[in-house]
Amino acid sequence: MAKAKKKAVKKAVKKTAKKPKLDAKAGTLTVDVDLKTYGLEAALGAAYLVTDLNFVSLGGDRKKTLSVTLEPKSGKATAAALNKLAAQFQAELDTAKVRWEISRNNLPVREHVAKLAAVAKPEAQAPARPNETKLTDEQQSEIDRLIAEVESEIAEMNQTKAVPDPKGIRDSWEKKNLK
Amino acid sequence: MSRLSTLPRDIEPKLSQLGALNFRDMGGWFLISNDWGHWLMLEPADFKRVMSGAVKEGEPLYTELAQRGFLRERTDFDALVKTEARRTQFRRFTGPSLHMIVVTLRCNLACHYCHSSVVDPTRTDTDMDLETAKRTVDFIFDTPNETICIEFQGGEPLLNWPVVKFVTEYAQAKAKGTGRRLIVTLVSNFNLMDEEKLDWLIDHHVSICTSLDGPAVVHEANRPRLGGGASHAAVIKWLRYIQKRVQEQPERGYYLPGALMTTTRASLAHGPEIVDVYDSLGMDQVFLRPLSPIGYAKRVWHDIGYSPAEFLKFYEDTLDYIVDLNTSGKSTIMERFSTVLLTKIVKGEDPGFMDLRSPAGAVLGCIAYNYDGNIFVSDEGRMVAHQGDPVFKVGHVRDPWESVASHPTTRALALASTMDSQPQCMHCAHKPFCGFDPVFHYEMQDSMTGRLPSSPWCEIRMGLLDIMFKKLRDPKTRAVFDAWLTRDECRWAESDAHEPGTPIQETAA
Repeated sequence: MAKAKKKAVKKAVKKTAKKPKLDAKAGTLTVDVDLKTYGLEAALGAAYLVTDLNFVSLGGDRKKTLSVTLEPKSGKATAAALNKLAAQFQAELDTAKVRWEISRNNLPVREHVAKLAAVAKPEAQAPARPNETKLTDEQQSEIDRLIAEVESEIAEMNQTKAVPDPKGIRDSWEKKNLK
Repeated sequence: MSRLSTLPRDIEPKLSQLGALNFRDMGGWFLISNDWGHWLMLEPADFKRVMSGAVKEGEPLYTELAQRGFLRERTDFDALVKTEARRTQFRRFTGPSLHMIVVTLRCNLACHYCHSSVVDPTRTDTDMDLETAKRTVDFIFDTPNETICIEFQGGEPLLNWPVVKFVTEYAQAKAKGTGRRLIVTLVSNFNLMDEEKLDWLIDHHVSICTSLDGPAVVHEANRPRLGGGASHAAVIKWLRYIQKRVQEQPERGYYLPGALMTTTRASLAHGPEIVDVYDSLGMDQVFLRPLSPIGYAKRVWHDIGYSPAEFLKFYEDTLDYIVDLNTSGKSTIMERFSTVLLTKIVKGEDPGFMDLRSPAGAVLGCIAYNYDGNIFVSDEGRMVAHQGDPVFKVGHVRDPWESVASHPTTRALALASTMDSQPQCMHCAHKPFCGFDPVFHYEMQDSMTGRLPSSPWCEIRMGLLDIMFKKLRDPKTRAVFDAWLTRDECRWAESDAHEPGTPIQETAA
């Protein structure tokens, strides 16, 4: 009985699913996605996922049917390749539908946990920042001494001559290539 | 077809029972995970039962699912909140802890993959001056994080040695005066190191890290000296010497030096040799890092670059070699990227790795200060500016911290790198363990939000996480990973008994 029911469901889905349009001449495949069945997020999500190997353009009506046209980046696809692509994209659509349904079902749980976690007491309580950031007189005079020492060291360091570079290796890329 | 898995055709999903989860076909088994970092490995038959709502109360699988938050009717909110709070503690925005100060752009090397926009050693106009250095430290101490790590970068920081010393001493004085915890670290190519500088660094507890790309044949191919000449020998010499000093004087409590490698095309055929070099030096870990095509690396990518698939093969083969060394007892050397990922996967903690956070650590966790006082979201962001695009500049050390924190670029990066807003990441089973870098994607794909399906960043991280989960299924490898996790200490962990302002002393391994 359960098997018969499953078959009936599959048949019904097949009836409502529109056949993808193959344009072997242009090397493109167009799938009209019924948004009542799949939802806009799932349709857009599936289209996005295949942009690594395909140029994807969208058309149609956001409320009813999203028209997704795929053109393989690898070059003009044969009819057989486009048929295979159609089956692959259908699998992406069906999976995207499941993913989005799981997400929608559990959105309140995820948001609730995220909110509570954001305000939960940290495991290790860090001590409060002291307000006073001033140095003591002793520390300040030590810093002043250090600054004077470093200033004279910098002056001495800048006396050093350049390393010879007969092959122009240290010339920047910009100097060599930009006129 | 896409890099996210599709549901097997023979599954009729029944979703009313299911809590929030993402799934991934791992080839022969399935991984499910949720926002809170919980995960399960399922055989295909069990995965089918889970997705079709066929798992019944009383079954062991039901208990496993319930304990991990995968069943709506058994959601333990208290437990999930605790897990999430620990996992995402960095989101409380306590301010950046890592402050990268570029004290000079001058360098004595000409590394092919440099993304520091280096110039030749005569260009003292690219040295940070004293006034800017002081303002930089003042700005750093205005940021709110209780812990401050200052990391000297360049160019080669030793070329502006006076400012390195000044910043260290000034920061240590301020840390003492304000009760802040301070770590100071120096990244150097070691080719300008000498006894006097080393003595000073040891006396002032500045930890040192260098670059070591492996055996000389790889290192010299990647990192030649400016004007020609070898750079590898100096690195080996000073690594050995500093280790000797540390081991001979344990009472000084000084740090063992660290080293990082960068993977280029020259590295791909030398994985085991790279590991052997690190092991022979007694280093406790090697970090198999992929190269980002930013800066000079972008210009020569056709010479030194590789595809994500090539890197992943190199990584997995080399990791297998490292695991074999551990299981055979020949070495206990760890692989760093693994321990970072495993900290997230197995321990459910944040390892403090800025590139693997959601949102990313740019400004929120780390900041880069250029020699001229300009502030950037990261060192890569600074490189983009050097190429003429200042989009990642978020202020100057004259500005108040609040203006940097609330800068439009800071906000844009936080938004772009929040993985729940990325159409591919949000449904990826690796989401809780992964991260997104807006600067990388801006450079590679002309977009801060990127195009994840064609992103090499995504392909590599997805591949690395696939490798990690596959390795976790092997009991011998799992035992090695567990041993690494117990040894690994986060650099930012601190002991309780620590006097404010004094340098933190990590245990020499």
